[in-house]
Amino acid sequence: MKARLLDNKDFWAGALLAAIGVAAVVLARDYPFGTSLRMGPGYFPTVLGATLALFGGYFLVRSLRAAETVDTNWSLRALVGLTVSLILFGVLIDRAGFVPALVVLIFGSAASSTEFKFREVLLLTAILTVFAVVLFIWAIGLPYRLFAGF
Amino acid sequence: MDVFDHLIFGFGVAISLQNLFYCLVGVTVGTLIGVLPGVGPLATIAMLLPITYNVSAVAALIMLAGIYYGAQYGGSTTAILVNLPGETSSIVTCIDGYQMARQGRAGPALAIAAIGSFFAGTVGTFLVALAGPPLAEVALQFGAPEYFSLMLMGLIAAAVLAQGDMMKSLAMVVMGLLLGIVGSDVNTGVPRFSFGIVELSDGIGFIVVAVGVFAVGEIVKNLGDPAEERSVFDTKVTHLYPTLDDLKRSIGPILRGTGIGSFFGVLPGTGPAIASFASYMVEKKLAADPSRFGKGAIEGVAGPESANNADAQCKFIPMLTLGLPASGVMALMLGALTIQGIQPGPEVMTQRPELYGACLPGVGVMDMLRFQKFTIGWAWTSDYGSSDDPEQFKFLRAYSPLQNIKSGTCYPPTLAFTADHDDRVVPGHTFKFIATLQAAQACPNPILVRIETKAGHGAGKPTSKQIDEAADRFAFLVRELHMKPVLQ
Repeated sequence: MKARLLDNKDFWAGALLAAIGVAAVVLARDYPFGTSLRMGPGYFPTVLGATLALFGGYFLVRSLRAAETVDTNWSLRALVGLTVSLILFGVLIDRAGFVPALVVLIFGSAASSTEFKFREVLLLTAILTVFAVVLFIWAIGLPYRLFAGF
Repeated sequence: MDVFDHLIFGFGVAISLQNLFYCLVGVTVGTLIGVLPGVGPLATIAMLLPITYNVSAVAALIMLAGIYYGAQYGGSTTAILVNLPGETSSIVTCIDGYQMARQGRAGPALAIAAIGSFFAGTVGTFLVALAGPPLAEVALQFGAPEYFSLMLMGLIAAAVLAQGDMMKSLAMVVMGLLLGIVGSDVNTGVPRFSFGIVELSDGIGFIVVAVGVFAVGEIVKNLGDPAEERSVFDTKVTHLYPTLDDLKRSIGPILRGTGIGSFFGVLPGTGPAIASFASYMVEKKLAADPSRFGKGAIEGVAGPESANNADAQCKFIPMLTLGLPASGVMALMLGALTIQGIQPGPEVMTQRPELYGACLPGVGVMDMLRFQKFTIGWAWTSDYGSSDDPEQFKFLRAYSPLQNIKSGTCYPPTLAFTADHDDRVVPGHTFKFIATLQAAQACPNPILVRIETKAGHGAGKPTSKQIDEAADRFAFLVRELHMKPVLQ
């Protein structure tokens, strides 16, 4: 039973929703709740979080009977690699500048693919970086520094 | 008829070679930038606003409208081709448009989106010209209960039209609302779920969510599939023309979408997505075989694309007639017009005073024709212009508060503030303004002035006087707005 639960779609959906809902309620305890007539900043987060947690509970219960399995065709490497590259882009664009951030983004996301070819990616990075600089910085004039902090 | 005279006059202005050129430039640049993933009409207009500074007001408006439609269409293009909505209104286009593209029918999808948009945009234009003012009146009647109902309808629509499990759709609606409350609370200003990060106190942007859910999600899924099963299609867009069957299927959705979009467009404050969602839901309900939706039904592109264009066009109605920006894009348009020296709509203050519950003007420059003659006033002429210049006199006369008071009007309850020793803005501005208002007032609403003694423009005012003034301010508001204290 346990093995089946782990690749059960409803189980994971329920667990995720319940976790987010409970987290929202817990975090919202810092904000005044108010009353229904005069809602405080904590009112909506608490109500929505609790509702979401209830939905999570419903899916968890349902997962005991449902048998829809998780699509196994997804790559942990792509999920982690892409997410990390995107976050790094956001961190680097202010601290290191537009060009280093782009290089990290393109290289990082290309490396998330199983068909990573170093030379191809190097060429792609060079072309895309030049293209992005010309388009976004020169043509449109977005206020980012090409290199920063050096 | 008067209206048609105006329309023909408008066409005459628009069709000049120069203005057509600006329109072409606007549409081209707008489409090019709108195609870039994640850059919607709002961002495009904001970026391109400066290039309209140096052209005439008419050309600027034409060019901005061109940019707007171009960017809007560009957003639909990416929605269809790469499942990446340029802005909220093209989310729905992703559902069936992208499926069509995967089936090699990107051409017809793009074509029908363009045809639907064009038709809806044209109808919208006539609606703006013919029925703008009366429609704006109707929109003003919408109050909190109506907006609440619309919001509820939008959320239910979001759950109903989703594919598959209804419970999961509802759960995701709640999840979306939860994401939406990140940032400052509207009522109290308390930052929620921001974890001390400044960027988060502004809330999570739509583009961020859309790119995460649609783009990153799609890429991650694609990378997991073995190479031969990839859903990345050949991007060659062949046979652009829709078939006769496509056209036949699209006529109804385009007409209905135009109607739905026009309705929602007139209402200020309805987001751009609600019209296209509503249209999609209607088409799905009316379809003989609803199961085709989500799998590349052309109705699912034609309806919403028409609806969001009619919506976009009709958003001009509240902006032009009432001066109310009904969406972010309209707020920018309003800004662009103001930069050009045009105030859209009636001057709300002077022509629709009944919209105001109470007014509290403080140390105001009320007489724009003589301000430069007192104390430091001459120093502001570089900002405001000066009545000594005949050209600038006309502009100043047009909006100067004192000279625009009309006798026999019912003005809202007004309490003006000034101080006997204000040498920045001399108290005479307020004295003349209030005296003229009192003479012109046609109803019992009080027109009062509060003159602080032994005080100036405001800086350095002792705390006790600030408290007195605030108390009077609030007391006046509580009385005139008929507020009732609620005991907690």
